[in-house]
Amino acid sequence: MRKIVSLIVTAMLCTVMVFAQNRNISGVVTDASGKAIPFASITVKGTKIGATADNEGRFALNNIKSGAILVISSAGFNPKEINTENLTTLSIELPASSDASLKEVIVTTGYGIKKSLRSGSTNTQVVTSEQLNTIRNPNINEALAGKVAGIQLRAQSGAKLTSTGAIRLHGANTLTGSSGLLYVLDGNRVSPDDINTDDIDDVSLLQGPAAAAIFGPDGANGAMVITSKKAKKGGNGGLGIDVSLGVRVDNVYILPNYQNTFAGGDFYDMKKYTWQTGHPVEWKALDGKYYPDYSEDVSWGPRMMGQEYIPWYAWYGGHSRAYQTDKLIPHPDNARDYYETQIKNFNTVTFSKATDAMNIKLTYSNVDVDGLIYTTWLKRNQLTGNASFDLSNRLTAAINFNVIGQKSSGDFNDAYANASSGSFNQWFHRDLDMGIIKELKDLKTTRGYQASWNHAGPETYSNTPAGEKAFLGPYYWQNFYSAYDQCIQLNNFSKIIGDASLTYKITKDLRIRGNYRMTDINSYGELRVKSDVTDMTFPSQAVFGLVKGGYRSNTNISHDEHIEVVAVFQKNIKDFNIGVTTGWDFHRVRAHANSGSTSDGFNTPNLFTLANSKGTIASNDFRFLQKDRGFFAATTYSWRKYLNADITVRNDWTSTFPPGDNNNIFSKSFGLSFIFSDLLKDQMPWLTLGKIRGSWGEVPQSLAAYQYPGSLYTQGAIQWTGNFQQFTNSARVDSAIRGAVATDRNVGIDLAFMKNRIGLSVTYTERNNKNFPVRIPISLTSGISSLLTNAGEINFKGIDFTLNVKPVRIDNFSWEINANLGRTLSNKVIDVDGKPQSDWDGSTGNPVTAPPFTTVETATFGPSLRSTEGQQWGILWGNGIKRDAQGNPLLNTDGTYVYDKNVNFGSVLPDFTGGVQNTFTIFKDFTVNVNIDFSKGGIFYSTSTKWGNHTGVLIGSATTNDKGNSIRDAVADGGGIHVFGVDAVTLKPVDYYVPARDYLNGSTNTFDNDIFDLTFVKLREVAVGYNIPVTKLGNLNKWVKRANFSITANNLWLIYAKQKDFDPSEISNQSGEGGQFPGLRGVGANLKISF
Amino acid sequence: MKMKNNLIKIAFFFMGLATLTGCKKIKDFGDTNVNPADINDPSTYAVLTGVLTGISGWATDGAATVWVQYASESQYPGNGLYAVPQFGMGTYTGSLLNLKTIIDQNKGADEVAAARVLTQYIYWHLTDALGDIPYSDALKGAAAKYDKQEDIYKGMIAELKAAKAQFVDNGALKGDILNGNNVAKWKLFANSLRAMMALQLSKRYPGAAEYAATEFKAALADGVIETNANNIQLVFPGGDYKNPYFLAHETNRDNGESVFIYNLLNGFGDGRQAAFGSSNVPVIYGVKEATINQWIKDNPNWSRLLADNKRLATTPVVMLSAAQLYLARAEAAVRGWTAEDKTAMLTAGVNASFGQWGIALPAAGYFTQSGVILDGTNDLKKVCEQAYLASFPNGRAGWNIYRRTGYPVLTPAPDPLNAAHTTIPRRYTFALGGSSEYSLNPEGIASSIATLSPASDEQESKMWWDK
Repeated sequence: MRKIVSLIVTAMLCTVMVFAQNRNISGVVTDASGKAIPFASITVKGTKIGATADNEGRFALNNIKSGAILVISSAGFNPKEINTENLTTLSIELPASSDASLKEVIVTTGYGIKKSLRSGSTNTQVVTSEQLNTIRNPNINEALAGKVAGIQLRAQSGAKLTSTGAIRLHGANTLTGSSGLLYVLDGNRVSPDDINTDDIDDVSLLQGPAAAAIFGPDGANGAMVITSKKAKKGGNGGLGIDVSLGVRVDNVYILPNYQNTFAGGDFYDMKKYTWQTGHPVEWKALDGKYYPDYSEDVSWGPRMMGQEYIPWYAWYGGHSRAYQTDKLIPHPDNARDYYETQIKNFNTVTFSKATDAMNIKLTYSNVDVDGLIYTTWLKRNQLTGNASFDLSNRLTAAINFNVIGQKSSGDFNDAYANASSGSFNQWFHRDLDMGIIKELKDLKTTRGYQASWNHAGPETYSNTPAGEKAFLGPYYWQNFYSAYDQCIQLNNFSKIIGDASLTYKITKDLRIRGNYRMTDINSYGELRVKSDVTDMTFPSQAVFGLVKGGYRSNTNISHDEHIEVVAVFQKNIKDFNIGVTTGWDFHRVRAHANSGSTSDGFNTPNLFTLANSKGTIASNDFRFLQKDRGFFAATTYSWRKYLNADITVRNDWTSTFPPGDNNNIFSKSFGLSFIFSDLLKDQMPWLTLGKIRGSWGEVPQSLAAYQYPGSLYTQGAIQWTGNFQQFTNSARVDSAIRGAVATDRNVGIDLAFMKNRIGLSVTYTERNNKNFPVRIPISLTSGISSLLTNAGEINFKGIDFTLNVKPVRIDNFSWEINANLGRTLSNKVIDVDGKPQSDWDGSTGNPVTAPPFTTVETATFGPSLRSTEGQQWGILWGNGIKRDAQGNPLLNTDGTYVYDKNVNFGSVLPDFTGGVQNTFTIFKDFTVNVNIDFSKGGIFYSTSTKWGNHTGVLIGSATTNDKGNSIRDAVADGGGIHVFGVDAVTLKPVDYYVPARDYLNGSTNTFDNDIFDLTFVKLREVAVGYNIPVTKLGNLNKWVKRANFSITANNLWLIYAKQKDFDPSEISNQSGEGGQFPGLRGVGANLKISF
Repeated sequence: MKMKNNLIKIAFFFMGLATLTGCKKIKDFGDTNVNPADINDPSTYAVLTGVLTGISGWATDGAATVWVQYASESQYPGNGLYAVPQFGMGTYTGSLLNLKTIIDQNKGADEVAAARVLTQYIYWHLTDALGDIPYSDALKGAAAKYDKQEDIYKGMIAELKAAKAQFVDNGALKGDILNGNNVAKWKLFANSLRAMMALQLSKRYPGAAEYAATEFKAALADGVIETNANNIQLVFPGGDYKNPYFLAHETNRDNGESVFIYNLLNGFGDGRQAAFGSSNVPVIYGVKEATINQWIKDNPNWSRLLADNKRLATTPVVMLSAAQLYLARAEAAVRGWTAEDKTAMLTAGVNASFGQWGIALPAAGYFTQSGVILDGTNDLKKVCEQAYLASFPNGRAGWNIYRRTGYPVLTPAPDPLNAAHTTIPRRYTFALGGSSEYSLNPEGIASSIATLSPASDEQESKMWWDK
């Protein structure tokens, strides 16, 4: 290894030795807004002498005669001639040409490297600020949905304020799913959370290890490299002020289809209440009236026909509706009524100034959200800035910083049986009036028990504390408002991300830069559960296990730093251009996490501090330290600009590997591109660009700190009357453990016609991920439960298409279409554990023997997500209907399904995903954006429909059968669900009417009816923008340079979905949803003003 | 000249780079990857405490408690309807591995001897649950071979003798939350276990001169538990460690006192009912979910498993009692294994049981009633019924009596879940799933199943001593 690195270094050294000339003229080329034009061409008129500007638009020329005329040109700009006279430094502004679309697109990779997309060899896509910010989505992942080929955004409901969604780039790359894309903002590794989308200049998505090898192990899954806006020269003495004001209002859009015919409870016939001695005298008013079953949280109750009944709240005193009956009528919008209007304000102000020698920019932004779910909110303040100063003509100092403070409140858990959607969709009474529930949220019994819609029947009452609690205390569920009032979750974090650098220009071709980068994260969270939660009849249903009141506090701090030294060399030698970026990156991260929670309730009610714990405080602390040392060289060789090669090598040593001679990680990539259109300019003038490219890369990954060697013994935190405890760890780690290895190779063709009126790109990718650290189970009788070792392999093959068309471009109207599609050809699991015929079970996290599972009984609650050798990744396996060879269900003689424990329902991965963005420009000042994204194929499992039908809440439990009768009617009366199939024994066709409850409860054991297609087409973003003509606004134009007003909409229309009860683009977890929050639709307005 | 300087600078930069990469130090991270929270030298007495905090779990096995009708499921019937009971091998990598750590570390004779006694206690429960299991070859780093149950029993009894002999009682025993660092009690525990194990072999070795009777007598001669003060019980301190029946009732209320044991007590006019249930409305047995849910609604005063004051957070769980030992001795006397006075043993056992529950001792008439008096008619049944009552609510203990003798006579559940499983289980089945022995040790498990009668992994199959 050492040899390889030395060799590279020597090679670089030799390359560097070649230059030896003097310098006369240097300069920088920018566009009208002051933004650098990288790779502009500079030639001395009438000679062959010339240079190419670097990625910051800087160039230098030597031995130039005084008075020589320079011709500066760049695609997409009008060329300019400059008489140098006696000048030695120049600042040249190129005017945009009428063909601005020919402008070079710049790809940013690691360590400040910028390349021309035109000549690039890797699979990389660039998204500009305008494309990203159609509707000013403050979340980078969601802003990218449908805009990049090969990604699948797995978004979450907009009600989950702290979620950024997840991006699955080219399918699954581990046995457990898709692991992280690296996010890099101005050279600093960040989380998607840290990025202010208003502040983004452009995004380069480096798809896979071949494109991202320069980042070493962190780049194994590709990288999203984001460049923030910089100050640009121009206007008011270089000072710019930009203000962007926005508001967005979201409301519930997608909810499941509820039934509105039958009320809550377990029995159809209401019971008659008879007052008896010992009951409160006020209840005499209810004597002889009828009441439904309040205690079972299902809706198999009486038909709602406006009949008189005793509602749940009539039994409680102390409010205006006490002791009165009401009419039993449907409340079809009760779930919808619970959700509030979500209002988001987000404002940004930027101050910037740029001169020849410096530029500085300061951005403050603020986000304030009042959430859809009761008690939820988010507030965020972010200050970002960057500055660069030329300290001398050789030395430049620069800084970037990003300071974020965010606070949020809310329980954003939308899993099974959560306290809002989990109840509405799964365990609920359809007759509830949400307005009354809200009105009575603070209602308590005389002895202080919380009132709930879900309480027992009066037969359980006695005039004692226990008797009162047994009847009037919450049974399974609390009031939906008090449940959230009583459980407050607060999360806060502050981050400081930044770097400082010094760049020294040694010669015109060689620069050295030193960077110190740092990310400091400080976060803390609190969970406060009020003592009132004691009053649950079934405290196992109470939230978080803190049933008698509780408090949890957690604090995390981490400090992450990089020290980089990078040399950048760029040189033209006749027809060759050589670019080298080489250096080292030393990384160190130290983290510390503490958490503590009370146990057994509080001593003083509702005093939220650990010291108030009744039982022993449960605590946890975790520290880690990791160091990595990386050396890299990224080289680009170009011949006459049309033949380009990229070679990147990097070696890292990491503290996380077993020590020894081989604790290194060697990453490499190679790419080649050939712009054949440059040779065909004369024959095919309509061919603006024709390029073929191919690249290959292999990047091994690192391990987490302390994963090796693992711990041999552990100590329990809680003592038994003064005796502490230790345990022997049976999980072991292989002494040769390594990280997984990612390899990809791809070939592509990029074509552009008629001066970029039409552009088309096609890329074929094959990726291989293998040798994951996997826990292989061993027979427990050995005393070792599992060994962490390297095994497993997954392949991906797919094709990405992007298409850019400008079908109409006339004076007052233009239309531009950007479309893309990522097609997965296969995403197969080759190996799981190094043994033949295996399968990775998502529910246990272990490899198991492969199907057919003669002995494996799958979970009865839902299918498990599996990686099965020889199959697509992400198979849902589980109990399904057993079928004959023709696919007919086998039926028992009572009409119920015969079930098969081992049904393969298919893969959760879509076949293809993509999007279409339309931009219409009308009368130059009106812009309309219409962005559609779509996904085809893949499945998900819905826990909500499973239980919502079981409990009689959803429409599936209250339909009409083919006889025209309610399926809830007795079979003898013509009711029941009509089931077709073949007899399990005779295999002859049979059909039965099965009582609805038997069918829906029995079907709990089969998942067929609750597995749905993920396919959707969605009108995700619409924006109508207007450039306010400030020049016509009299005196205002002295102050205002530009102003733009836009109206936006997000999730405007779910155009197509096979299952419309849940937003298929927001499925809450990999295998499906468990009670997910509703889909939201938002309308917003934005005003941007530049001063 | 200037250019030359630059060249030198560049050369230095790259030479520096080359030196750095060549340097050994670059790959040496010292102790960076050492987790400061890791333990390399275990405190074996703390490992002993760790094992003991969970040791009473064997005496509170919920499935067995329901099978022998101490308890009826009041909410989610499953075990009582003979759902397939699976048993995994987690004990090997849990308690047994921890005990092996104590033995291997060998930091004190008493500690090691105690660990050996506990190891046998656990193996006893494992083999009685499944049949043949890994014993001599277990915990050696690879999938273990399975031993014959006969060899396991003989091994356990021999090992208990050796462990008892190893105790030195030098005051060094620590962390013993079970017996309070009392070595004499550990010896009684070891001897009493031998007696109970030997008695369990009565079907295979019925004769008074055979292995079981011989070992039973040898254990008696070494001294067994005779007073409630010497009962082996885990005393829960409350707070973080609460009595499991208390916890189960607090969160789920899944179990009530079963109608069978209620009727048995009632028939004898037995005062222990005041301790075993919370009311005089015992819970119906073995009916389907809808039926029991309706019944519970109709009978809000249903009897919980254990009276409220016998189900406190700090109530001890008795694992092995004087009452059980006396009644074992009564059974041995009835079998003709010993010359002890069967009536005296039975009386001592019953009185010890009443004493254990803090119930006033029964009047003399209790012992002379026809269902109790050992008059040569159905003596085994009567002894076993008393042993069954004295073992309450320890389901495993009751289940062993039932499987060994057929007493008490239990009527299986009326509404079994599956037509294939309608009788009271004779064993657990091996767990299924990816990390199970089926996947990871198929040869071992096959050898075990082959010795069952019939030779299939079913809950009705009988193990060696049950044949």
